[in-house]
Amino acid sequence: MLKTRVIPTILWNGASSVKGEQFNTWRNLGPIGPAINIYVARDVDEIFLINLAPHKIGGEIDYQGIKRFFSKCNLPLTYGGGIKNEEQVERLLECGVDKISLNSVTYKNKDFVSSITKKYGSQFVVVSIDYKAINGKLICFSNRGQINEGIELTDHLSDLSGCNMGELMLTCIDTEGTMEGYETTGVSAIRDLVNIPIIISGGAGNLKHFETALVAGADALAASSAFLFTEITPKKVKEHLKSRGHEVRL
Amino acid sequence: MTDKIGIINCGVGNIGSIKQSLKIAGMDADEIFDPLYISQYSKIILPGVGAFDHFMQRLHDRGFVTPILHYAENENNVLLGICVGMQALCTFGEENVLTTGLDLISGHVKKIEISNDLRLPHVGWNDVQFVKRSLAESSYYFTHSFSVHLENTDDLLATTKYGTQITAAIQKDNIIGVQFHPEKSGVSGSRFLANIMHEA
Repeated sequence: MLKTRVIPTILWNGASSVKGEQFNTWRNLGPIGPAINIYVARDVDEIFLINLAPHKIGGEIDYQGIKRFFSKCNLPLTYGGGIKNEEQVERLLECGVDKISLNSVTYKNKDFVSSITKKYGSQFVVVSIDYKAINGKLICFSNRGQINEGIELTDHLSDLSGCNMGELMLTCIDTEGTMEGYETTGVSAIRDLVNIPIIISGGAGNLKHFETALVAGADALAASSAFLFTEITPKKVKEHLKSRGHEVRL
Repeated sequence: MTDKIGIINCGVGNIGSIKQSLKIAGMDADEIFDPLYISQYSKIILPGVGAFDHFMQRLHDRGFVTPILHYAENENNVLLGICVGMQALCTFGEENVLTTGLDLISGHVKKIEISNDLRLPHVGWNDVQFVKRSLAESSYYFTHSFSVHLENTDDLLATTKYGTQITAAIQKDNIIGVQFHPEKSGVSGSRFLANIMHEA
């Protein structure tokens, strides 16, 4: 049986790992290498590295940095942040990236998304969508939550229907970093509209939150603050899920 | 001839991860950028990422196809294909356009047929059952939408279950392929690589 994945997300500002709340007030958490090493030592299911300042160093993605972090990792790694052309994708592949996460570019250039999935396969591309609940509607935001794209979550998904991405990552900006629980109306709303795995992100703070999201329709569970600021580890989450009858890898 | 393992580097795949995974298991590996060097090894790993047709194109463009076929003819040489590298060992693949593979093991690669509530790609950790040899049964990391359909069931080494049975590993004499990523499967993946490379 396929196991429910629990995915630690690491946010990177180009220099160190950071953590914010509702995409704001970023706290500096020190160098990123040790953060990755801890998750590797814990043999987690998968790791997401999201670069919040992709062009800070020399105006380009910091490939050297990424290669340094990724080359010694024997777990699945996804990189996201600032990807908008194929040349970058080629270089990221050479750095040892297993999957890429595309966000802002999906609003401007859908052809790019399709061309990448065609060449590198669907399994290589995660489309990441950040949204906020505004007047009862789920509205998409790009560029680290700074730009309101003025499009509803379900409409954006139908726009992307021909792109063949392999997974979706949904992050609710309202709950991100609050540790008060995932926002689950988003995943429930799109669950039947797509047939690819959905990773939910943003808001987990206790063990119950993870199961609630799973029951609401998420296929994989991503978290950051819960693993940084509480005693919860990915393993504890999976032990809890197992005790509730879900398939996990322990 | 060296005792080291050679990893074919045609510009895709996490070569660093494979090296690291082998290192944990106490094995050394070189990267092979130039097809000329293939003949110096007796244990070679072919990692693959991307769509079948594009991956085969890369192997052709970089001149790897003939040297690999030549290498595989010697029964003392071990060839391990990983993910699309495993699929490439087969006769042909259906991803994007019908494309000829290395045809070292008879079979074709087609999209996984899923029923009811299952999602594609098949991504994540899944249990692997070995049918031919007693290798450590464990869960390994998969990420793929296409799978191998063998012509001869004798070549089946392992299966995994995702709705139906999916080919997880194949072996014909000295040619081995795994659909999952041992180099991305943490400690159990390292153990698997060590076993397969030692025993082969």
